[in-house]
Amino acid sequence: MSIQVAAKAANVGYAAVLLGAQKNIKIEIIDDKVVSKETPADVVYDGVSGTKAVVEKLAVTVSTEDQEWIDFAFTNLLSKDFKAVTPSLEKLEAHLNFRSFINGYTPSLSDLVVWGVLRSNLVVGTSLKSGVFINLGRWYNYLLAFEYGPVVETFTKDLNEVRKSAKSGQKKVASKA
Amino acid sequence: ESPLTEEELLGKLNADFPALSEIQQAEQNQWITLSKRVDEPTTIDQLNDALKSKTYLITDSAQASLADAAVFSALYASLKEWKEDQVKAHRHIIRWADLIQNIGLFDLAAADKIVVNYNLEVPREIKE
Repeated sequence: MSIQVAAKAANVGYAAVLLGAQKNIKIEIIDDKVVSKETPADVVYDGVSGTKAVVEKLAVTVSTEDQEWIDFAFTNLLSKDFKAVTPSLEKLEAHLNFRSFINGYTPSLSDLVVWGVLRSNLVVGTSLKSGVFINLGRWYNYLLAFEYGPVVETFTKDLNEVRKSAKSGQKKVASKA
Repeated sequence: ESPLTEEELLGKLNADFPALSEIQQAEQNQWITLSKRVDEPTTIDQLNDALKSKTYLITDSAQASLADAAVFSALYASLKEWKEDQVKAHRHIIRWADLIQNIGLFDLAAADKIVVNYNLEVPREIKE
C-alpha cells in the first residue's frame, strides 16, 4: 500500500510524505491537482483522504500536544495570503524564543507536521529563508539540513521524473522517498 | 544552595562527540578559548548572536560538540543566577543552554538544571 500524493495540489502533502518516509511507506506521485477523479484529494492512503487525516492515521498514537500543533498547522498555516498567515508565524516565532524544537529536545511529530505544512506553503518559504523570523528560521533550517531535506529532495527528483515520463504518455511513477 | 562548579559539571560529562571538519574544529577551538572569559559582556553578546541562527554552537552541526560542553560548563553557574532582564536580553543563550542540559550530554539532576520560563514574554526580534 502506497501513499498517493498529488504534486500540483494547492499545498503539496509534505507532512504525509515525510511521515511516510519515516515509516518506509512507498510514495506514489501523481502530477495533478488531485489524486484521482474518484478520490479528489491531495493525499490518499489506505482509504483515508487528505494530508491531515493521512498524517493522523500514519502516526497511530498522537499526543495531546502533537494534536494541538497538527490542528494549528492545518488550520492556520495553509493560507497563501501572507497577511492572513503572519499572526500564526508570529505565534510560532514566540513559541521558539526559548525552545529549540516545538515539543521537547528532539524533533517530534509536531515539528514534522508544522515543518511539512510550512514547506508546502510557497508564500512563507521566502520569509523563512531570508531570516525575517529569527527563531523560526533557525528551527526550519536545522530540520531542513538534518531531518527532512533529503526526503524533500528525493520527492522533488522523483516528481521531475514523473513530469518527464508524462511527456511520453505515463502519468504515475513510484517514488523511493 | 550553590550551583555545581565548572569542574563538577565537567565530571558529569558524557563525552561522545561527532567528528568535525577542519573548519568546524577551528570554530570549536575559538569557542573553547572564549569559554575562559565567558563572563565578559562581549563574550555573552557574541554567544547570543551566534546562537540566533544555530541550534548547536558549531556551524552545520546536527549535534552537540565539545564547544557546547565547554561553553555551557563555563557559563552554567552564572546562568543559574541570571535575572529576568538578562534572560530577555540573551534569549538564544537560554534556549541553547536548556537544550544542552536536557540531551544527556551532562548527567544533571533535575534540581541542578537551569530553570527556564518558556513562556516569558519578550518582544519579537527584528533582523538587523
